[in-house]
Amino acid sequence: MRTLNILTVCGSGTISSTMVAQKLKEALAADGISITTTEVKPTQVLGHVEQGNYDFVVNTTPVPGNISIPVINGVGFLTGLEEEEFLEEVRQVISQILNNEAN
Amino acid sequence: MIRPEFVVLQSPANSAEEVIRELSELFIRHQIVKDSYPAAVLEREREYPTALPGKGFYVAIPHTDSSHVIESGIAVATLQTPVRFGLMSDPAEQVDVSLVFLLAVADPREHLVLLKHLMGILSDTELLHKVLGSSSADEILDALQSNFA
Repeated sequence: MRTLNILTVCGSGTISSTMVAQKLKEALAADGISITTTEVKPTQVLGHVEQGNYDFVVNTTPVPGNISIPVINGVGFLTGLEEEEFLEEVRQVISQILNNEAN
Repeated sequence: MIRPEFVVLQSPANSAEEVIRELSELFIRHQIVKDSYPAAVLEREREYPTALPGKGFYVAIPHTDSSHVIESGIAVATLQTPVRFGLMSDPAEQVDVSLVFLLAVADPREHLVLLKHLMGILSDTELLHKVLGSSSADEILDALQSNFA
């Protein structure tokens, strides 16, 4: 399976987004899914999505603009309170992306 | 990163700004942040607030980017009465925060494990009550560090 390319977003583009990225890498590695992540601020998302090759976005703070790829709220994952629900959503998005590519 | 001198018990602060200024002052006194740090944290907090929901309570983790930080540190404040912070996931919504962790992070990758453990308090009601009920800085550090172990 190919490596997925993910944008993680928080207000400063560093702390929360890095935590989410690292947790997600670990969680998906257990499923045999490898990802690369880029941490950005909300205002950088639109430009990154338009110019880069990203599969989906995970955000802890609202993202402005019309984003053409899936955007998944990662607050419950950051806090650990809704970790399983979040990962379930991520797995669904990933399988949809890979299915679309296979067809 | 969390030192006794960075712990404030039962702060009388009445607002997010007051508690951020109070904790920033500790960082400045110990020269782990630049003078630009408090204003940068406050500005960020206005645009991208940092309250996070825990189990039945809210915790705020104000911070800013590393250009204002000299050395990493975490300051902790419990409050006499909760203060209002905006929610990270929905900045328009104000919530009552009972515990504040002010973060000065020089390199987030370097401190991921610690930050992750800090997040652990959000899903651990028992630990939170232990921290909120602490009557000394050492007690708070013990409670938090038991979680880090």
